[in-house]
Amino acid sequence: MRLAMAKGNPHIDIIRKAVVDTGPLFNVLALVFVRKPSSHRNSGFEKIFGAADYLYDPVTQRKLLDLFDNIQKILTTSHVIGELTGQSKRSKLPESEFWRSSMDYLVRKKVDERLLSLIEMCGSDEGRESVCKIGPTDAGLIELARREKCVLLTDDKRTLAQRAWNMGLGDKCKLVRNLLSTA
Amino acid sequence: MVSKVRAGKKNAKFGPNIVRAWFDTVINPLLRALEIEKKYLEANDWTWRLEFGSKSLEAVRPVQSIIGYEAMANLTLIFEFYSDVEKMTREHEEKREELLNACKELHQVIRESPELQKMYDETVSKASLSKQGLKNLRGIFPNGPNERHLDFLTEYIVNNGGELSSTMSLSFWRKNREVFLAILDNPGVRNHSKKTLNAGQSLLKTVEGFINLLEELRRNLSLEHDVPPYVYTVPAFVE
Repeated sequence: MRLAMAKGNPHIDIIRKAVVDTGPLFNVLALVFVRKPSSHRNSGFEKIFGAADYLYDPVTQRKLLDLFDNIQKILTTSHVIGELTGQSKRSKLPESEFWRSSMDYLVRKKVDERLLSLIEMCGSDEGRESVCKIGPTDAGLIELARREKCVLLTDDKRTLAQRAWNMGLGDKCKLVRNLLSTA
Repeated sequence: MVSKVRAGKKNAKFGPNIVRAWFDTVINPLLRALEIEKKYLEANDWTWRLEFGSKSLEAVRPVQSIIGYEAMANLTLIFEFYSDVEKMTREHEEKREELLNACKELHQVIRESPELQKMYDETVSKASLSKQGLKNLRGIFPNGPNERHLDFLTEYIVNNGGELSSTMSLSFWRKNREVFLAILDNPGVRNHSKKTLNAGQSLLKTVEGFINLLEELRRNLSLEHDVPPYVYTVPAFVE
């Protein structure tokens, strides 16, 4: 089901299928982890959520988890899964416990991890240009969202979203921050 | 400017290490959470939630829940030197509790009122939904039985039409906001609604005072002990 949603507008959609970028995926995994009674955290969120400062608000935290709960098919790329390691290291969360919790979540949600090779991405001039401009991870996410004809969720407005919008993804590329805001 | 923060123990000493810990584990997390509380309280959105039997104010949390069990020891240490902080913490907890109780009562009164059921039946009737261009209730109420729908609707009314607890379609709630909130003016509900509003506004005043007090304390401690209020660390994600 899709309700009125223009690029950047904060109306809530119920998203059923989405390709997810590293930032939002890590935030969800970190939230699931820090909300567990055994690993509960109350502070240090600036290290965990970084630029996603909207997640300091417990109401928004819950809405993010709810947003992901409602997504029936979460897709991502192997590049993103690789990037999660770097994010978890920077967040200072205990690595093995974090990964245990995250694997449980990823398995429960049946997250579909796809490998988009560099050669595949460079199959077109536009693809080559994307890799050069925004790197293979982001270029792969745009390519996957296009192939699957579904929403792309990111918090990276400057690089990934901008490129996706320029490539005609329009309101298929959504900023998570805006989706959770009702201002 | 005369400091409003009154120091307690005159002879005891503390240095920059303790001040750093106070900033990182108590003062900064508290300030951040209080600013969020203030934002909701200013909008008369108490963030009241009734879910799976647990009753809470989602964004208006007890101090221990904000800073965590371990950091309570640091807060207790602050109390030893700054009695105003202890007084304000206690006031915050008491007024938060008053608001929570007022919300509980208001929820119960609304939930048991026949008007709520009537309003729900009318709003979600086939004719009404079709008028709003909707086929069914998917994406409007969380999955679950009608009883849960009524609790969700009551939450929304108690919170004066504030943030929904879930990512639901907003257009439905915006369209029907005035109809739903009219119940707060019903004779059987009005007094409870007023009591809740008073409790929320009283808490808001306390929160504003608490923020001012903590900001002043942070400033004084920072200058006195040459400890910056915040030390920049590279965020995990930079846009």
